[in-house]
Amino acid sequence: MNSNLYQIQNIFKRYGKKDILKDVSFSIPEKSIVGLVGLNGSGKTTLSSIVSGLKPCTSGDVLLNGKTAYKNIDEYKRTIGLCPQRTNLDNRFTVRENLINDAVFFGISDERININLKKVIKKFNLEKYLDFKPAALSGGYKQRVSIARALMHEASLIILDEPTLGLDPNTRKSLWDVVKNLKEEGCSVLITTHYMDEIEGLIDKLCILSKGKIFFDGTVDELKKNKNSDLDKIFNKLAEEECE
Amino acid sequence: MKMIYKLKSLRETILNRSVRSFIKSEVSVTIKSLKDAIINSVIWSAMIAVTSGYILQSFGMSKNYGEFQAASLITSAVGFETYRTIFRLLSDIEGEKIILYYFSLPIKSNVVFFRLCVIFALNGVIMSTVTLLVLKAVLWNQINIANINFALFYLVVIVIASLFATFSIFLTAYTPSMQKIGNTLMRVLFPIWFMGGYQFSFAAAKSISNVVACMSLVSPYMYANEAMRGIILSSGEFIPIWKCLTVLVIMTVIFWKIGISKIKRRLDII
Repeated sequence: MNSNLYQIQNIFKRYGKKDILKDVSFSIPEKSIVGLVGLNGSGKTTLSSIVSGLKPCTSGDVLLNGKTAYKNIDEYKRTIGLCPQRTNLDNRFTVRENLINDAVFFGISDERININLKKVIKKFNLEKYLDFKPAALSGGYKQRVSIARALMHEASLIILDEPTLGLDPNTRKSLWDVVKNLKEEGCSVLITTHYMDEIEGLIDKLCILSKGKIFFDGTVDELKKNKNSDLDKIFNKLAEEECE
Repeated sequence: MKMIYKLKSLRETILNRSVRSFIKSEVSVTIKSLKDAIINSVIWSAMIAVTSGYILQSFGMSKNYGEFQAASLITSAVGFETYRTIFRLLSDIEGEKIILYYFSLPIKSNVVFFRLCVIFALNGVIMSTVTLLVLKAVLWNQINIANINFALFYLVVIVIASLFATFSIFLTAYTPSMQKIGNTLMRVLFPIWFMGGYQFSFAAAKSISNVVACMSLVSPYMYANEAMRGIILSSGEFIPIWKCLTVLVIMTVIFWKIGISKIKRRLDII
């Protein structure tokens, strides 16, 4: 697993005449979990797609270890594991084939594929489901397979876009345990969510996105200290301000 | 110099292990689902061959109409994949978005579209072979496959398949949503199929009206049908095969360039 520092610098994203992201800058240190929090429509998914190298930004840069990602976007993509809101696993293949195909597409050697496959099967309890098509899995297991797929190609930054959306509380808790584990593996994780309470104890760093701008960038403790309040109250206040 | 660089880059892309595996995985899925496609093709081509080769002849249609329709049927067997592909691409874009996973892979985004062309060509080769065999079995003496230059036959099939693959991408890019797919079918696909000489040759159209003949030249089906007739039919006046192939290749390049650039903008990908 590589250890990398990702820097998002002055990102602007415009769709037509609407600015979705305005001068967004933050960093994702190595082996850390960063929470990207914001209300619906604040630009979280767009930003995570830009960080993943999937979508272009209107201006700004994404740096990996000080070098622009756009100079060799294919090399940059090798370091990323994108797990979108709707797990886009290929339903024509079994879970096993989805995992193996991913590693093969990313150019991982056969020897490493076998090692990684055994590791992710154990880590995510996938043994029983390997020959299932993803469509037959529950939402929680689809998310697990999606994260496992990212680990198959040894991504150093896993991007989880609203990973617990539509999941029951138990499944959500077990998914957060999985995320905690990723850090111990040496990965950095970028989580976008609007469940502040759930990620409070999990993240090393918090970025709050409001109306396409970074409202806060720092640790949870710094935020509490600055605003002299708990996370839920801060978030609710932000929501009220956005509604106004 | 720019051309040499492009060719070098193309060669590197094809030799890339990730790219090869990416295409191979799709080929394996396509082969697994061939049974259904073959059954569909057998039923469809047999029914049309019986109608055009026997029933219509009893109503006074020319004796070689069965053979004439055979060429159009082979082209249509390849071209009809267009609608299925537009449907599949649009439902994915509006639903699971698996295509975005493919764009997140460390390969050039054009490879995702190139894979579509490979699958189209593979399908085209298999479907045209099956259709030809069914036509021979049903029409028997009305069609002489011993006269067919198979190297040229498969070259034309691959060119036609590449054209319809890029045409699918092009039409997907311009179809706003799944709800509007019926409009694409009724306003584009059916008209170009009917006006593309499925039931008549270019020479026949020209003998009736120059305007009709010129209109039929807008349809890629006309060049595909005429090229196929030139290979399969023992006699008749058709547009020369090399002219048809040239136009088909030019159309493929145009649909590829415009279609890919439009669909990339629509999906907002790098």
